[in-house]
Amino acid sequence: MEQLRDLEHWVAQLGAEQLLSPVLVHHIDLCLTELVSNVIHYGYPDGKPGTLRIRFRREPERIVICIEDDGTPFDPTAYVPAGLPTSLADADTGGRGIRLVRHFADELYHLASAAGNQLTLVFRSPRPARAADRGA
Amino acid sequence: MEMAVHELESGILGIDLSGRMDIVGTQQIDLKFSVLTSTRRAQILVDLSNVTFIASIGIRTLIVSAKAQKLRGGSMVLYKPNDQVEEVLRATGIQAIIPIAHDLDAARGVFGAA
Repeated sequence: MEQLRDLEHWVAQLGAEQLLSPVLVHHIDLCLTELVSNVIHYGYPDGKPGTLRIRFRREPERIVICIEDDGTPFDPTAYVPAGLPTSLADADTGGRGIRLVRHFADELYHLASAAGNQLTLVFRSPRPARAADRGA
Repeated sequence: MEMAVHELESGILGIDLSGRMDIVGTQQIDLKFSVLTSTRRAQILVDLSNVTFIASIGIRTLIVSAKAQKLRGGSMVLYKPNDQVEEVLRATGIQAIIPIAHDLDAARGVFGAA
């Protein structure tokens, strides 16, 4: 799980380099933390070593992040989270990670392949201010 | 993560959490937090003002302890989460089952009503 610290630092660096808002950086950080934790926890039940790749692409008004892994197939877009809790006694203790991803990512796509899973997250983002604009 | 414990007035137990409440951080405090919040009846104020990030695993820890405390007849309040942490808590509906307070009077009111 020490890879999660690397992920946290990568997201923070990305946010600084791309001039992303702190709120957007937080949403990306949360979604990646949940999804990567899931893959590490459940993707390799037999303990075999695996590979997880995260790619980032900036488009004019959105951020696209692709997570590829070679673990057990899992489609979070097909997962139906439990309803919101109405009482402490009846509340499930777990199962909130995918709900959070769906809440904070603007779009989520899953593609299963022979190699494993490809998950694409889209975050809408305003175009960052250019240096000339910021100085105006 | 780090955790500090102190008695507030009127027998309220204050637990201050700080740091990042993801899997790594939560594992660092989970056992101590569970023992403190589950082994005796108490009114527990969990100060989240220095928690910089919370993931589902952190929410799980809060719910498990709040459930255990309710079974003992006590109660728990989440105190002063920052905007980002509160946004995550509310996205999972936690405020409906563990009250969130931003000042001590509101927290006292919850404990008084519990």
